[in-house]
Amino acid sequence: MTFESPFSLLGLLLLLPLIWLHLRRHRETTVRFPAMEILRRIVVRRHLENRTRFLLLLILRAAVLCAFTLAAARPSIAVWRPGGIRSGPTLSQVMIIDDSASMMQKDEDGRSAFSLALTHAMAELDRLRPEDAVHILLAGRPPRPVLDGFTTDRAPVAAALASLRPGFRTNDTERAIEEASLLLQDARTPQTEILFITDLCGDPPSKAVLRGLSANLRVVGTMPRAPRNVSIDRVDVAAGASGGPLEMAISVRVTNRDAFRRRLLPLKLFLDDQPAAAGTMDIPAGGTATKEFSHRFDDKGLHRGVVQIEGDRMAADDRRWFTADVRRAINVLIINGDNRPGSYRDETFYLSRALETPVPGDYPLAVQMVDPETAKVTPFEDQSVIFLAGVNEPSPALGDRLVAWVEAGGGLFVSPGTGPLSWRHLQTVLPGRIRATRKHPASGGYRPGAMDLAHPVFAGFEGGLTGLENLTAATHLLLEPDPSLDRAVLAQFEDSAPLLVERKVASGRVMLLTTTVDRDWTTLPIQPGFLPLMQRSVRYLAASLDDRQPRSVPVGQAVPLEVVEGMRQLIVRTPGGRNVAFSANRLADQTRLWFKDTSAPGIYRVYSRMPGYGGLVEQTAAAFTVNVSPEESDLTRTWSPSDGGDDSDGLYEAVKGHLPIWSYLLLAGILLLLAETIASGWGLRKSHLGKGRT
Amino acid sequence: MKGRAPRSIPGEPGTFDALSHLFIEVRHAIEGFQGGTHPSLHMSPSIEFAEHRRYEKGDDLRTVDWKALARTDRHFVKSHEREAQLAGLLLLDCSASMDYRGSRAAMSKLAFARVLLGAMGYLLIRQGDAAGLVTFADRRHLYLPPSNRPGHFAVLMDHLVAARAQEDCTTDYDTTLKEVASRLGQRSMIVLVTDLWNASKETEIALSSLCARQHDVVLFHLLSPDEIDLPFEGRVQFVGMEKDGAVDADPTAIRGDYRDELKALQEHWRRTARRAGIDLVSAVTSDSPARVLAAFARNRTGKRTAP
Repeated sequence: MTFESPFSLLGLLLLLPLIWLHLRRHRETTVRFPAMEILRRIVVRRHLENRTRFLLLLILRAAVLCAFTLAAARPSIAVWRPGGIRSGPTLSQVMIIDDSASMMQKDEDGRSAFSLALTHAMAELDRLRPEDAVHILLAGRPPRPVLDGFTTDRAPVAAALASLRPGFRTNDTERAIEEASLLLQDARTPQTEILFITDLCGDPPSKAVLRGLSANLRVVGTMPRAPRNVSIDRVDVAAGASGGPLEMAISVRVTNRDAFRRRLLPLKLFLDDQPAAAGTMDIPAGGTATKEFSHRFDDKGLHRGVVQIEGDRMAADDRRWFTADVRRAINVLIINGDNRPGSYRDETFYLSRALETPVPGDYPLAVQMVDPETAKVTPFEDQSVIFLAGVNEPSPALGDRLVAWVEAGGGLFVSPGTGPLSWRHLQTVLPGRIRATRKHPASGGYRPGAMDLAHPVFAGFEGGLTGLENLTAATHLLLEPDPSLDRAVLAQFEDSAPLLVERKVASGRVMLLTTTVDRDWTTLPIQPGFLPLMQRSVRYLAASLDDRQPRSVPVGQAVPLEVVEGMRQLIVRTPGGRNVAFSANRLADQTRLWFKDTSAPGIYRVYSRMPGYGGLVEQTAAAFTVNVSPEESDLTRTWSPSDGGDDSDGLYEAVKGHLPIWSYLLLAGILLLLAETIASGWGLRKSHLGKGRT
Repeated sequence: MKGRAPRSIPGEPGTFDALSHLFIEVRHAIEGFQGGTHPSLHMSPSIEFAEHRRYEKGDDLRTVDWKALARTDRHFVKSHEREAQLAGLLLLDCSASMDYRGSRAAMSKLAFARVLLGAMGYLLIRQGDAAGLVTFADRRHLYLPPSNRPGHFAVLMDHLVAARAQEDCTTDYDTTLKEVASRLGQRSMIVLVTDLWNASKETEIALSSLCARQHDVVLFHLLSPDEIDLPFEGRVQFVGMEKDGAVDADPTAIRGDYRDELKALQEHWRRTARRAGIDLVSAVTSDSPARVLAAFARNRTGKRTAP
């Protein structure tokens, strides 16, 4: 319901004094009176009648007030009705043309919904009178105008229509209609109209949006009957079942939106532009099926892939791109805050040796060690896990990069050094705020208490903790309790102070050891269990990275790209081979930027130029794929004649118009006033009758 | 009045003059102690012939009418009646509800009743009858025995003037009427002025019982005009005058019902009075007490009937 004079609704505030006056009437006058036995008998007998009359009068008077107030606000309601030839005064029209991927569906004659939409738009343009103004908007996400503004000149409009091509975007009907409504707010013509030409797929606008429309909305459907459609909805890439570093498992999910079962549907897999595998699928009607491929790559790095099924009348979703980031080992970057090369006193002496020790039957760990200064410019993309060992005061730049790394899904292991701590730049990802450093008063130390043996880090310790139960810590950190954090204490001291804590941050994980990883504060590094504990911690943290799928976004969605300090250039190569470059000026003081030009499906590769690396370096982990949204594969009509439309001539058409209802409200107010008069005179009439009889 | 002028009653200075020409008659022959202007059934040779009746064994032979025996050959005895004195007992309801005046009456019901009873007392004593006074509310407050001695009227008037409505007190008719019945040995005239609120079935029985004992019972049913037509407007909280609570009501809405109820109550008392032989007089305090009394007296004239 919309109001022409919404300020008139302030009259509804009069309800408050009305109700107050009604309630106040209960105690107006007090009279000492002798004939109480008669009065009491009557009041008891008429109690229900009096209450009913009181409430009835209150309701009627409130209703009268509401009816007249609402009528004064001149309301109108939006109603659907079959479309027809428009007539009346001058019109401003916003033509919304659905250019989403589903508009690529074709009818029996091979005409796409989009070409039919353009034909209808041209015909509509011919029907408009010379004085009518028109504007064109495309409904794919995000909606965008085709013209600079309203125009009565038909030539540029026709030229713009002729130049339009279907996109792969997702439909955003609601936002397009809202934007059209905003454009029409400035129109000065007596009539305004939104003409939405679509294939009738996708979510219709919400009722709230329709209610708020000031203009008429006319919906024209160019594809009254949806074709059969089979689509590839998803491609997942994971490590192969054999555990070899170069083997990857590729899982393809296909959905059959037809009413009949699809048998022996051909499916092909291409890797690095070469045919890699083929097969067939049986998919039940209205169901899905998954095809698994296993492939051993020749080398590590980023590999491009595409899956393709037999084409149908909706070709846009018969092909899906993906990337496979094949790695030879788990890369571990240790940022050493207490670097003493070659010395067992070095902060990472025990840690690096524990990680570099190969474990039979498991991926080797490739350990790289840097100091905090070097870490500021070291790319993190190739790393699986980062150790922050003994870095008591990371620089803001390093802190921000580590936070971004964790939030993007990376794994971080943090342990303190012996100096004063200042982790404020890491605070947003740490499992708790450091309250104090506690030293054991005696020469011994704090002993470990309970450990979460069900946690994957301790999963291999079922046969015994191999010395971990004997460790002592002369000094350790105390954490502030904070129930709001999603953290878990994996190991604790005897007095329940945390020893090893884990926190999940977005899709990343952070583990905090509250004592050192060298022997400065604890005997942990010399326990036999130290090696498996560190190895498992790394693999556990790396698993969060491995779980991440290659980035795949729907067409039109912006993609975040990480910017490293000192980066001189960042280039995104689109599937069509076009390079989109971001210069050093754009990258300065940024940790992340958004790439928005994802209008074409395919693989987008990312390159960067870093100081000291020579030419362009491909950032394999930053590559992403863009595919048609599975929503667009659902060609089910969401607009139907039950909405009030008409599809008798093969072209669905419905109009949502505004019906003024203030006259009905006025009539209702008069009738209610009449009823109120009768109800309030009810007691008086009885009284007068009584007077006549006396 | 035997040489003494009547006292005036506040608010009604001309009442006695207006009533001076009236003569109260009673419906029944009343037994009196002293000779007065009312007929008595007591026989006496010196008094007026009343009627003949058949001779019965034991009758005094002196009363045999020998002339009638000669003419009819049957024995008749002559009965005579003598002028007897009337004992009038005036009952004044002093309950709290009698203090109600309303918006359109010049005086409260109690003030009206005092004027009414004062005038009645004056008339009774002036014609040689005895007058007594009982004031009551939830219990009997005063019993002044009937008398026509010199100065008695002044005493009666003093008590009338001193009569006050008893705050928050209801009316206990039954106890008072039973006590009156037990004290009155002879047939008397009992005048009760009340608004009849809180009167019960027992009250009706007590009044009927007085009539059955051959007392002449006169009941003045006194109401304020506001009690008759409930003239209030808007929402009103009615608070009882006799500790009978409060009710919230819209008088406009219930006025019709109220009048119907009051009319039914008045009709009920009319039927009860007719059945028991009570002389019921409905009076409104907006009227003049003299006019009420005059109408009552006119109504009584000629109604003299044999017991």
